[in-house]
Amino acid sequence: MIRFNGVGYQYQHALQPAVRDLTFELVEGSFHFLCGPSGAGKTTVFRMMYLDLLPTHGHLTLFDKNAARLSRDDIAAIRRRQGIVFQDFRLLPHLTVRENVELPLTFHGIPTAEQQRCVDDILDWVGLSDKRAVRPDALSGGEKQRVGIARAVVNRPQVLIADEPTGNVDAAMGQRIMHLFCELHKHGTTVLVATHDQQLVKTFGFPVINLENGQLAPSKGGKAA
Amino acid sequence: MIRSKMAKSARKALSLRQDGVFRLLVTMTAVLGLVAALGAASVTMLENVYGQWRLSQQSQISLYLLAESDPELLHRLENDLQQLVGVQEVRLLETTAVQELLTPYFTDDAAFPLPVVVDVTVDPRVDRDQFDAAVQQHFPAVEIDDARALLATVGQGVRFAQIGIVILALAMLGLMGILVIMTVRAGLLGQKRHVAVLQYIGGTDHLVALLITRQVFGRSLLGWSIACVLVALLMLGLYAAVDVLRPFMTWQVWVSAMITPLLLPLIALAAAWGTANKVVRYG
Repeated sequence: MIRFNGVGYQYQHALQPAVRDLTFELVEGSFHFLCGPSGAGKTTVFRMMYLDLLPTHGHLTLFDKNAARLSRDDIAAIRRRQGIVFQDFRLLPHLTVRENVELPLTFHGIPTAEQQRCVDDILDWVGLSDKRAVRPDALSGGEKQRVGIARAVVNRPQVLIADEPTGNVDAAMGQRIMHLFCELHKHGTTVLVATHDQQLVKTFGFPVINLENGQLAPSKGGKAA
Repeated sequence: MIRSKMAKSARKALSLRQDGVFRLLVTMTAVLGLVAALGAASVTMLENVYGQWRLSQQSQISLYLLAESDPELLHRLENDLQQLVGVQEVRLLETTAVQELLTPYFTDDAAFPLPVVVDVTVDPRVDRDQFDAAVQQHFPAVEIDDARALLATVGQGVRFAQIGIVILALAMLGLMGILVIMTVRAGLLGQKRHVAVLQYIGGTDHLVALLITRQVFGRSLLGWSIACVLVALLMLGLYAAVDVLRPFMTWQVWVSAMITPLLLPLIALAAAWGTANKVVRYG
């Protein structure tokens, strides 16, 4: 589904690559953690996965398409098959919770009546039914993250990629968010979660892709990918 | 990709309302539209006035003959002219009519011999050289009131005025385009983060551009509607108040006044679409 083959990325003006020689594959229906200390290159890997960055070296394949040969419309089409959860939520502050969650469905061309039903269901699922008319500013960090998750999964993506989804919430909320991801995984969604919380990795026990200094490294906890 | 009836969330996702120029877009379109409408109506009406005046000038030739002209020769001239193709009517003016016609040109009350004036109504088929020869055959000293030179001069003046109005209209369209380009650029660059979020959740460049373009187009259409109402009221007022203008306010004048300012929203649409696509794609 997503295959990195000798992938490297060097930012402009950087002396050395942020990541290099990455080779791994996320097969359909898998669940992986992406671990590593700050500056290891996790965010760069994520940005390449949602095509915000294109590899400067190697080959990246998403849904059997070479990332280097995608048009901008292709990129948008691939993103519609992905759900992205950001550490900093990236909610639109002037829209209500409902409107934020509804957006991906609009972009998918889902009829309005069905949009309403999907949004209601997903907000029930993340426990935010009573906050649908509220703007993000009025929500706690955990609630914002759950809105971000609801937005990422409302269109039933094939792949869910989450960058430090538990980074800005307390432990209990972190567990709750992880349980939501596990539930999605049970329904067949491929999940990749970036985290540096080793406790979380041990608790859930999914395979780990470990990064150190921009390269794959042996896993220190959990199962190696 | 996106349904024609766009969800409220998508409509609200990107908003230009924070931009000062955007907030003035309705007013600016209305003002520019009003000027464009009046310009278009003036050009069309000027064309109508000029057309009718040219028709009257081209169809009327006046002959000025000496006061002591021989009545017999006059009668023969009348007969000869009526034989010419394109001559519709030959009319010898009564002395009182001539006096009335020429009085404004004389400053004293001294008695003077009134010339003989013959008004000839012609149509476009008349051959002016043949006409002039027929007149001069009987009266070599005749003065023929030939409006052709005057027609050419006035015609040039009218065209000059019309070109001036068209250039003014083009300048306004250009101004509209520049304002829209500035608004869209500033609006999108100020919301770079929001644009990126829309793209991350699957929005195409065209879709993001559409969200912006529809706001600009909507506002400029509202401005156009206001301009149309204002210009219609103004023209109705003129129609009711100024009798002399009525014959020249044809349906073409009304149509040109309503349609010409529609170019403003169309220019706004094109400028917004082009700029939004460019900014979304290249930043």
